Amino acid sequence: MIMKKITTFPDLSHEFPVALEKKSIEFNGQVVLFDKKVGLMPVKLEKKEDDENRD
Amino acid sequence: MALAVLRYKGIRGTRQHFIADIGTNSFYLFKIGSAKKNSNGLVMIDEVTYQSPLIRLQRPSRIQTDFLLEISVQLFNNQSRYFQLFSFKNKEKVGPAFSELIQVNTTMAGELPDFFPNLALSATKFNEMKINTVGNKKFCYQEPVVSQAMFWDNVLKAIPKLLEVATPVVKDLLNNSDKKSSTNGATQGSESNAILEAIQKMIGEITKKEVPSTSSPTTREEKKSEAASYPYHSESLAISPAMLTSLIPVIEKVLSPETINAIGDQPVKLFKAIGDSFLKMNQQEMEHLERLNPGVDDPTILPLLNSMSIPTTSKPNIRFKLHPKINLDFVETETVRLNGKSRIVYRKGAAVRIPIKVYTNAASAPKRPIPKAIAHLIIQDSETMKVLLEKKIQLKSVKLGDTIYDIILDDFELQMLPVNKDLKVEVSFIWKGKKTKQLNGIFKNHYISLINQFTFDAMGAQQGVPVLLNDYLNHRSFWHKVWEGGYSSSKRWEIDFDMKYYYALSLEEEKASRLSTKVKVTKDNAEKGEEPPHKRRVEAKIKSGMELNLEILNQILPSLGQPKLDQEKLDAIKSAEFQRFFNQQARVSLEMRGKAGDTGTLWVYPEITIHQLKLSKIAEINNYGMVTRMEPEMILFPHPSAIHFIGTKSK
Repeated sequence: MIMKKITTFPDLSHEFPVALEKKSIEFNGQVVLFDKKVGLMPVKLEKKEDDENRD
Repeated sequence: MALAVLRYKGIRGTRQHFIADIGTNSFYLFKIGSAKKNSNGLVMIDEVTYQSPLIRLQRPSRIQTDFLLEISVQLFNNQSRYFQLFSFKNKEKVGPAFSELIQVNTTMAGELPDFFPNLALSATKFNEMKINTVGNKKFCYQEPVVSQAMFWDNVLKAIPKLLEVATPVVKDLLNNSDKKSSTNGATQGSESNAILEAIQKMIGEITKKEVPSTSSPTTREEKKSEAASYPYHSESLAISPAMLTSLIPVIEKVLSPETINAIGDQPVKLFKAIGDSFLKMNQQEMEHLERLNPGVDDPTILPLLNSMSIPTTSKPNIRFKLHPKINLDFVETETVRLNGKSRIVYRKGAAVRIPIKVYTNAASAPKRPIPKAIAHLIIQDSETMKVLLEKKIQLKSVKLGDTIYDIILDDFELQMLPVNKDLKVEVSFIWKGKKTKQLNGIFKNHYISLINQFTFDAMGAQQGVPVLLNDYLNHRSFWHKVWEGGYSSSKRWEIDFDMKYYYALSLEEEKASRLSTKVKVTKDNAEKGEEPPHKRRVEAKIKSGMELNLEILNQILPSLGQPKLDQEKLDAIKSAEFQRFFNQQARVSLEMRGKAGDTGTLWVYPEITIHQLKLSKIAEINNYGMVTRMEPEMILFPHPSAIHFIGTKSK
């Protein structure tokens, strides 16, 4: 598959994983197994304050 | 008293902010260092990289002893991140005091890891998105540990005991409220109704949250069974309507009606306010309480509040005896509609005034003024109950029934307070009894918000179609490699991930960060010490995410065909309300598999939609700095709407 732009990853979320694997699309030197699109849902989050959190 | 107290407030713009208090000392200096040492049990700064000259503090007022300390972020880096304050009585450094050692957040970005090592990136391809480097940090978010349901369960269980403890304290107050004159009755009645309404609404909220979404029960048995599973419906009702009604006078005594309007539909905040007020009553009346409740082992309300998950931060306190016949009200208040509620809103930027009235309905009220009194003002964060500002105002010749206009927050003090947040304002009016010589007092709580010219009001409709941030060079800030791995000991391997990915909006951080991935293996067919299986099967829970900030989102607007927001409007949406709309998660099951030695990788990138956001613009303010009219203004801002999970494996 030819990408429109060399740095753009195509939207493969409509492809079935099995079909996708057969197409041997590569990304970052590896074969793409799936592109699964999932909708985001609101969530209540609390931050755990910890000075040692930073890497 | 000589002090060196330091509270770290984080980074704002290019400065690290601290609230410092040196008490009666007049001089201070600060040190920044890269290490700490233990000196006779005291933690002191070490390997000092910067020491300020000795500074004389120019106090804004005699009463207010704390002040804002702003230090350029350039003095700090990843190593030099310790900060300590030293204070002295005079320039000869007599009477030294030093603060606890504070470790600050540093803004120095670590080097961006080589994101696409196999890709030859052309320098000309880099646009402004690349400049906004994204950091890496440990996963530091959690969904609330105490669920809403658990919170209410605890509240409902604790209320009867809370009333048992608190009612003796307010017994006199209740009696007094019965004796109120009929002229005042209408107002008091409407306040009571507002409180009752709020409590009923609260119970309604609990009911809504607790009742499962399955089909409604049809038979009597089913209904009975359902009722039994909710404490407020069951026969062992934890809180009866009569008990709720008995809460009203207590609430009425300590919370203004505007508070009920502003936070009445946020029961958690309302209960925090009630709990905090009970705690104050408890502190004021400890001896009285112990005398009235000799059988109560621990008369303190703290364990009760803890059981209700209500924060009980210690706050400055002037011990006084609650006066049963004197009332305090916040007066001349005007509300505006903001975030769907009627609120008292002040404009930040110029001094504001909080008028109060101290009055009595008792017929035998003294006619002469109270010669000397103190208005003790405490402003707290309504979520954490952390004290943000304390101020004592000396009052002279206070006539009961007259409005007191002396509670003023100047621009300097307002700097210590956040905008776009509910702030709990507690005012105590304290005076010395002429005959008893003991301190008498009364207090009340109020909720206000401070805003700038623009403030976020509501989330509007989505505009256009979602845009994929799938350009892994230009949108690289949003791409995240969340997992990489595999097995070599088995011929084949398969991992089933139960994946959660979060987008969290940080209002404090200057740069966005990819959060580290947490993996918890829940099932594994390989046994320790045994031959590896032919096919390794693993099940794991995995969570990761990205902490975004408004700046990085603003930067992508041009690439989505929209102009960037100016700083004023960006500051307007820097609010907990917008954060609440923004924080999102996606949950998905993913299967990664490969042969021995294969490496699997999991990438994530988002789809973004442009949303309309409704801002409110200040149109009119009154003489007290209170906003009296606002106008709507619409802006556009990006919002992640979906995530693409990309699984890859080595060839």
